[in-house]
Amino acid sequence: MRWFALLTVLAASVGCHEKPAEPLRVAAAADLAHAFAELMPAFNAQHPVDLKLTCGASGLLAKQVEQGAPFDLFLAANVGYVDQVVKAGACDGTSVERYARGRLVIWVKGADGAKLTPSSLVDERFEHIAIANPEHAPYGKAAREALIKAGVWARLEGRMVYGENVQQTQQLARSGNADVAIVGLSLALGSPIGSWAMVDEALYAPLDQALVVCKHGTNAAAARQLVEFLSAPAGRVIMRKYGFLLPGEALAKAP
Amino acid sequence: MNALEPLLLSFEVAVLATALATVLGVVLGGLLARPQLWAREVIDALVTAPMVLPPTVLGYYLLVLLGRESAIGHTFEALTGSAIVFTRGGAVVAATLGALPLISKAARAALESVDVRLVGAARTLGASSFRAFMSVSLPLARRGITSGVLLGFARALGDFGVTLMVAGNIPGQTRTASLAIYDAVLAGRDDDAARLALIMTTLAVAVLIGASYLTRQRRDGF
Amino acid sequence: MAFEARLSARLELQRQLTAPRFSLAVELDFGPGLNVLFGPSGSGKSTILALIAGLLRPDRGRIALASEVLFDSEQRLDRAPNERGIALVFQSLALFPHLTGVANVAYGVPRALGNAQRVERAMAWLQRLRVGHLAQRHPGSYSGGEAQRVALARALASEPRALLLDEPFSALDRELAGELSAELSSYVAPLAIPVVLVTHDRKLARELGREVTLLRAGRVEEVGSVSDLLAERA
Repeated sequence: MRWFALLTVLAASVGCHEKPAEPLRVAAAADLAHAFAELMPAFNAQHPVDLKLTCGASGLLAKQVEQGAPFDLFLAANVGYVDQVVKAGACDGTSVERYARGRLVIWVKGADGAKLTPSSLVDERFEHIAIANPEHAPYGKAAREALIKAGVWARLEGRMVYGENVQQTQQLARSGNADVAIVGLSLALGSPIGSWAMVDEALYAPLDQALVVCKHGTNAAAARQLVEFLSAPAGRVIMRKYGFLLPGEALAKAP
Repeated sequence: MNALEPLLLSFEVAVLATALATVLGVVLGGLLARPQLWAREVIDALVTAPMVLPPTVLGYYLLVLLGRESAIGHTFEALTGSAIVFTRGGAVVAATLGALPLISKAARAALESVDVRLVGAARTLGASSFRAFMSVSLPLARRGITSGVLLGFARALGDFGVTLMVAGNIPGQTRTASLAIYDAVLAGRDDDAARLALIMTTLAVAVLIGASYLTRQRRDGF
Repeated sequence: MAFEARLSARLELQRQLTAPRFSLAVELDFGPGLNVLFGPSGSGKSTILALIAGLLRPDRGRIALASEVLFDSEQRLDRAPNERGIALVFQSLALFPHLTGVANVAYGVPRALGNAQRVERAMAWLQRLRVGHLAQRHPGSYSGGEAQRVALARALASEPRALLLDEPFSALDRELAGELSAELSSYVAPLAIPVVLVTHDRKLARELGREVTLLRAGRVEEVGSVSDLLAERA
């Protein structure tokens, strides 16, 4: 019986490869994964295009885009990487837009995270503190900045664990290998478990996140439609729900 | 999530990569097994060197070397109409690079262990270097080469970092099973990840056992 | 046409840097028929055979067979081992373990003949050496004497212009060695080619050769008739 099911799926997937229009290939920073899970069907309701999403570290994606990766739209976790690909000539500078201002949160797997601040992390029970790698991940850089400004970096440095990107960072805490993680708000909202607390915005430089339409893709038209959708009310509702707030916006629901 | 797509892609890429790496690896192994080749230790080290680099870094260098902005990339695209990178071809290149050092080292060791007098006998009986290699050295080195090839296949199947960089993680095109599992783990879809990992591992083990069985050599008793 | 097929070799080889160290400088001349190269172990006998066959390259020297020059260091001439027409039977016999008896023997038969003819020739030689029953069997299953015969058949089937034998029969017991050595002359005589037989076995040398070249420490000590030089030890 399993064999039959397998064969049917095989046959179906072969059939599914006949897509008439060009797909829309989107490269998105790691923390957009959850938001896009909801954005994609909402977008598809208005625009029936085959959206292929690739999530990853902004730095890695930027390098690939520079080298001609066939993405139509690039959503980075900062502005710097977008500038980089525009400068390299791979993307259209006029299409650059801010889609969110990222927020740092302290996240734990359990239910007692709502009161945490950078200073609370000094407590010995936080043996391993995970942040994204400050060398190349914007959230990691901001996390380190916040901890330095809060005056606790020196004491915590020995306990830090670096995730390759902010998604993997959260995974470290979720799997129990780290006791706490400093990640983006969107990841905290997108996780069915855990609790979190916002980090004081005064402690780090704003994490503006930008997007840009790129040249090596095959469906720039659909890319622009998606950009419009993201800034339209329908798109903004979903973005806010996952913590992607523009300056002045408030969360869709309280933590 | 279409679990079948990444699996099929992974196996397709791994089979192609292993075939390519086997041809290259046996030729390299044959060259390295000749004591006359003065540069052989240097060449051997160069072939193994990529294993030392972090995969994403190696992938990045490959990307620059073969990418759309490169001379090689342009030539390839002019000839075939499609780029090497960010395509299935890129995934094959990445996996081949991972498997090559394993196969060439195994081939070298296996070929070196063939009694040099047997090759000598073949030569005096009128065989050219090539014929002696094909009809004496290779058959006698079959066992060692086969185990290297199987190892190479497993490595090609599991390639991650280099594939991620050179082929991109493009769903339906270059999202191999290993990349798909990674995505699932990061996204918190632990069940999906576990399922895919289990299927992939089971299939790979089945292939390896099957191949070992088919290429077993009978040991002549007394 | 009565010109003799002679095998002449002037060979110099120095190995000072790697073990085993030795220094070889010899001038050899072998006529058709059985020639014995006699000397204690380590005197360089096997090395000389490898040099003549082309499996090793001398530092300096010249090797000629009949009217053809196979190696000349001054002229930078070095024919590949598969182009010299010289068959070498190793002390270890070097039978191909993955091939059957007939496939082993057929290996050296000129490829210009079709497959069928090559197999036929190989079978003929196997039968002549009285090991036809080994045609479909692999060397792993041969006895010492059987293996020796197949190795010899293989060398002879390649229609060599010279035949080199390294310590033949050394692994066999006295009786078998005696049997085979008696037969050897009968196989080789009709070919009228130079046959160089290397041995440290005095008795064998006396049985087989007329001419003997005495070798010691990489140098030719003396050349003469067996009866003169290898007199029966008292």
